[in-house]
Amino acid sequence: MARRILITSGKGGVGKTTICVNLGKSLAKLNKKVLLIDLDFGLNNLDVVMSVENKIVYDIFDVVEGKCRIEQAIIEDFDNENLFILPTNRTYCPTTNSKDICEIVNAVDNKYDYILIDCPAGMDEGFVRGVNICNEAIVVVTPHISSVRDADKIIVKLEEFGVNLAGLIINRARGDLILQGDMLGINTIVDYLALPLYGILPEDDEVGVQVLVGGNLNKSSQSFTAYKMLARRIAFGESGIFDCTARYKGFIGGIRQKLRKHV
Amino acid sequence: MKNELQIIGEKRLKNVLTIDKSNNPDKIKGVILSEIINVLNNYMNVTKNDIDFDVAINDKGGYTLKLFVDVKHLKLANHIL
Repeated sequence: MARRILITSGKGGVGKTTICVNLGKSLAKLNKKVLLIDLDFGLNNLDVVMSVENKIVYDIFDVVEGKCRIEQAIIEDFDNENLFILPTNRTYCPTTNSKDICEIVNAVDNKYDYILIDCPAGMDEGFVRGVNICNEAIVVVTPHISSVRDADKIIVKLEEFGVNLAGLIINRARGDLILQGDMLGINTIVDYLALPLYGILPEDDEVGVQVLVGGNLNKSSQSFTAYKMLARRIAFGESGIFDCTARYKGFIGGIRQKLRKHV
Repeated sequence: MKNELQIIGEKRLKNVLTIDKSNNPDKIKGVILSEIINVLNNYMNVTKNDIDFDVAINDKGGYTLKLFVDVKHLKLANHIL
């Protein structure tokens, strides 16, 4: 049976879709079979970040409407035979109920090790759909008051629904600003949200490049390392968490901080 | 070491989280109280009027529950069994 993980946040724009894709790629590299599902109906972007927007023939709604089998709607990643996506491809939000989506996911559950569910922002229908098909949730937050606030609300909602809260990912963390005290600290966020910290992902221009041109993260990038550690933590329970402040410590780190601040 | 900006940010965050939680205590109170009465009635005769129950926001942004029960009669052991 697959681990069905809902990637949620409450607030939009914190990086759920990007995390879904890059975490999926990292898990797939660990020989885990991964299916990504886009539940952001109408405002879908999983296909774009995965660079499969031109490859969609059928989507999840075609499966719901009986126009195709689910296998026909699932697209394999061009780069990794362990990674698949079940996209959505409508410019509107069709009416559908959780039961139909649940049945689709149940039908393929035993074929995958992980099913990562890209949850839409907010706490309404889309979120409820995600809650109904997942068996655990990872909450994504950025080190900003508005994001932590919305994550706090979404955690309460997840608890009300009885969802297993796997942990917290802090995305877009600027190590230099955290060290200078110009950004909320990691410990502060973890204390207030009272969830175990699963991973820290740094603010990294490489991610923007990846989304712009499609493809994979540069292996020498901080993000690549951070995602690798996150995937190993999820898959094998390893304790390593990326330290976004490490490169800004010490003499060289101090120079990097100053360059970042003033250039 | 935290600087002034980080301290201000953390205070604002705490304030926001506390305000958000303060909108919910009545709902939480109602749910908890009904369950407490059910449990207590296994051992004693109590009604809603005998219970003074409060849920307050504490300074960590969480909740503190306070419960005072005026019990007139405890049920005997064989009543429970």
